[in-house]
Formats: sequence, C-alpha cells, structure tokens
Amino acid sequence: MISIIHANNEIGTIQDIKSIGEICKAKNIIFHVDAVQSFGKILFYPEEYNINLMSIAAHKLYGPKGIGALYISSGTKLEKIITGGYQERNRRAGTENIPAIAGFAKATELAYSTIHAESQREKELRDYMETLILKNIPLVTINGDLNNRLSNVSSLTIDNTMAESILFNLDLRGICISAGSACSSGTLNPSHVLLALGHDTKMAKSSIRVSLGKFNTKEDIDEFVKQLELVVEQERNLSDLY
Amino acid sequence: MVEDLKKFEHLLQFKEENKAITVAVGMSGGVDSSTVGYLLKKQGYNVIGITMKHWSGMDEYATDSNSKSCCSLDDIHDARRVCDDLEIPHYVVNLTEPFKDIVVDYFIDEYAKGRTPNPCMVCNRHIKLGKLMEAALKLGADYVATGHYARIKNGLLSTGDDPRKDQVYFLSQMKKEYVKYLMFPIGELEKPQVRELAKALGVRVHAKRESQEICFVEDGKYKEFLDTMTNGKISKAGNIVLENGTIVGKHEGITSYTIGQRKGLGVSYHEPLYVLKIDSEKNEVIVGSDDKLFRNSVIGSDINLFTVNTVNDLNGLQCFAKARSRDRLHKGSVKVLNDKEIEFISEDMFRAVTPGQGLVLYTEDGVVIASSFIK
Repeated sequence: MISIIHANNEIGTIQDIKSIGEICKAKNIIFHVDAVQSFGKILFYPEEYNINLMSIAAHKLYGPKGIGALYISSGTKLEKIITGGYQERNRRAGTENIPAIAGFAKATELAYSTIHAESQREKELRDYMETLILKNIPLVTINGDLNNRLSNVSSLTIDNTMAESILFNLDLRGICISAGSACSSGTLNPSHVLLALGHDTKMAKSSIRVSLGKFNTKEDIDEFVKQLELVVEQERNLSDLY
Repeated sequence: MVEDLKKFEHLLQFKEENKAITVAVGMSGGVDSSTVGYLLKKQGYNVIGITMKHWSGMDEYATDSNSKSCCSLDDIHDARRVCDDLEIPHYVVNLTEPFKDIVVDYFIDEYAKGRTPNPCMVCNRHIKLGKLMEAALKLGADYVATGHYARIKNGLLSTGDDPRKDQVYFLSQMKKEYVKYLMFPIGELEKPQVRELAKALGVRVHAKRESQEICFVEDGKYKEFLDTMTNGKISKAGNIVLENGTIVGKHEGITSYTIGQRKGLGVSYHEPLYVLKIDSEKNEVIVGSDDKLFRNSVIGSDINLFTVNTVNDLNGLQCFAKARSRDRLHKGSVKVLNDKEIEFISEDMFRAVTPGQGLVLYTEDGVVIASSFIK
C-alpha cells in the first residue's frame, strides 16, 4: 500500500497524487490518500486518481470536531478492526454519531458551494499577508513550494526569535497562530517537516504557521502583521539583553 | 469562608494602581504558587500564569500521579486549571533541553566525582530565575512572583521570619540583577497558614501533597536514577575504609553515600561509624567516628554576590553562614583565599560539611550576602 498526504498540514505543499495514482494503478498497489487538509479546499474526485482509500475530517471544513470519514472505492476490501456489531454495512461496529455526521454533510455541502471562490479569496489574502510581512519585518523566509501549496497556509521562519515566545505574545493580544502542527504540540521536537526540508533545529524552532479561514478579513491581516511586527521586534531586542 | 479570610485581609487589599502592573506567577500546580495567583489577582494586578516543562522522566508522556516527582503533565494540568479558575492566561515554557544540559548532567557529574550536588541551586540560577524568568519578562511582565517562603528587604534577597525554614538558601545562586523583578507574596506565611488561606479562597489544589524530593528523581531513588542515566557506570562496588586505610566493609556504589551518613554502611564496628569522605578516584567511602565530622572552616567557590561587588570585598567580613539548607546560622568571618574562593571560619563547629552543597553567607537579619559551593 502507498499512503500519501495530499496537502501537508504544516507548510501546505501539495503532492502529485495524479502521478502517484498512475503508478499505483500500473503496479496494482493500494493507494491511500490523507486528504484531511485538502478536502473542501481543492476540488478533486478520488476515482480520477485511482484512489482506493481516502481519509477526511469534518473539523477542517468548519464541521463538528470528532467526526471523520474513510472513502473506500468499490472493490477495495477492508478487514474490520472494530468488531462487535454490524453497523456501517458491517465495516465498523458501534452506533453512528448521527448529529456529527449530519454536521459533516452540511459542512461539506457549504464548502463545495464556494470552493473555488473561497480558495481564491484566501490565496489573495495569504499572499497579501506574506508580502506585507516580508516588507515590514526583516529576516523572514517562507517555507515550502510557493507555487504548489494550499491557498490558506503560510509557514514562516523568523530569524533570531523563538516561535514559542511569539505564540504566547500574540495569544495575549488575541491572535492565535501555531508553531508546527496540532499533532505534535506538547512535544519537544521541532517540526520533522521543516527538518526534512533541510532546516536545522534552531531554524525550525523559529518557525511559525499561519492558517487563514473563511472568517478572516483584510482587516485581520493588517492587525496581525502590525502585532507580529511589534512582537518580533520586542523579541529580537530582548534576546540581546538576556 | 469570609470569617476565615479576615486574618489575611492585609494580603487581599485591592489597589487601583496595580492594574497597570503585569505580574507573571511561576505556577507549579502546587498550593503555594496557586495561592499567590489568587492573592495577586485580588490585589488588582494584571496576572499571567507561567509554568515550565522541564522534565517528564525517561518517558516523554509520563502522567503517573502516584510518582512523587514534580511537574509532571498532571502538575501542568493542575496549573492550567488553576489559571482557568482565575481566568488568567496560562503558558507552558518548554525548558527540557536546557534543564537536562544544565541541571541533570551537573547532578550526574557531581555524583561521579564523589560530591553531593544541589540541583535546586543550579536550577534556580539558570532555569527558574533564569530562562523562565526571561520568558516571563518577554511576555511583558514587570515582575515575577513565586510561592517561596522568602522576602525582599530593601531590594535584597532575604529569609522569611523563621530562619530554620530557609528556601532562600536554594535561591541564593540567582543573578543579583534579577532580584529587582521578584515578588514573594506569601513570603511571610508559614505552610499551615498558606493551606488555610488557600482553602478559604477556594483554591482547588489547597490540599495537594507537596513533592519534597528532587523534582526529576522519582520517589527519591537517586541510585536507580543515576544507574539508568549512566548505564551503571558510576556505581561500582568498592571498599569502605577507615582513615588509616583499613578496609571495614564493601559498598555497592559511592552514589549511595553522603558525608555524615550513618545508615546503610552495613559495617559492624565497636563504635558508630559515619561517612567522612568519598574518594571517587579510588572508589572508596572513608568512615570514622562522629567527632571527626566537626570542623570550623569551610571553603566555597563559584561565588555569587549580592550585597558586595567583588569577592575581595568579602575579606574580613563578620557574618553568618550555613553549610546546609537546614543548618543553623553559624557566626564567624570570611577570609578571601583568591578571587574565586573564600573560607568561612566559624566561632562554633559545622557538622558533616559536604562538598557540592551550598555555603551561603547571611547578615544577622537573614539578608543573603553571597552564595558559593563547598569545595
């Protein structure tokens, strides 16, 4: 089996699942795609890429937390790992979480109805934000493939700062961003994604991730960049003192 | 509850001008620091809770609440919940790497050299009232408050009223320049009073048991910890000898011993024997009679100054000293041996002076003059 993440949650890079799908078809290999981050943002159909299995989750589309789904192409046989009852056509035992599923369905419908327009809107906002940041804050680099990434994610390395400290200071100002992904929060290790890109530990620990959503506006971006500028300056000045 | 709080009224006075001052409280999830959070909030300060993640044992995600080490994930969660109760922000600062490099490695090295380390003194200087304090100041805090039983007297670090309960001994290696940022809101209260106040205020952890041992060694099992961390390299069996070299027994590793120790020698002799010295090179524990444990001179190095500017300023100073945290204050004077070492000569005797422990100098009122490590 080959399992690939469609769009990386930390830096947004989109993998070439079309080509990988062709290889899997040619070699008769089961193809699984983690589309949690891309579903509802990028329009695609699993059949077109020979995808056998695809994972998605509601909370990435403003649906309820705690519900996901596995797309299974017809003909793909799965072994049941949670046994006891015959729900989900005998694929997974346990009473289904109907309210969450209903929420997931509605969220999907809403996301798809604006998928192109919203993607474009977020891309423009994200690009505007990056331009503003690069213009106003020295020693900042953007990570990842700038032309082939999700339209709403921005991974930035801010030299001579500690991402942890920036996060706390922005939080105090009512702004929430992250350093790395939720999956690795609370652990000590710098982002394995950034390290794989060739960052050293110090650079990885100076990197933040900003993701934009349908509720973010240009005013939000202006305010965010203004606060980020202040926080970064304070952080850099104090680094010399202590 | 209101009645119970009456005697603590002076600690609960709201002041309008405090609203402009931000105080970061070092939250351990324990009753002392949690109570400090409550007091400062009542006094009107802009309070932020800050906790350090410094160690979670060999297992990254240890949540064993039965283990008597400090600051596990459970303790961090307690701190978070207290901050949530107080409706103040809470941040966890990840200091595991510097803690391992600066405190844990030092701990291991000292034992390997036959010394008895004092990790709290090192941690307070570099980690707690070092990096953690710096993180707090970066958050915009004007002051950093802790739950220590200590006071600031005229801008100087000082013991609480009861000199026998001395937490300042462990703080005494902190940098002088950082004292101006410190606040000790419960520094005048003794433990039972703190618990009483905490209960009356509704602090959720008011009855929580405190960890007494070194925070990163579970259940005080130093030998096991050292063996695990060094693959048994520093705990090798050797001889227990008298001062004249006569072998009187065997030991399972010098790390199980400290100066003045009587228990665990497993030696039968016509008089009680105590550990006088540990020789890491010969891997020997040297024992002798109780009277051999007394001396009136102690040499200290790695000197940290508070009330004077240079080491030479200490020469001839009449003051008081402790060679252990629970020591009484010994009256005597200081002789400067060189710019890195001092000798304290006491009018009475010190018992079981232990290389690696702190030699701390105080004024009669408990103000810390200087701190050093016993050679």
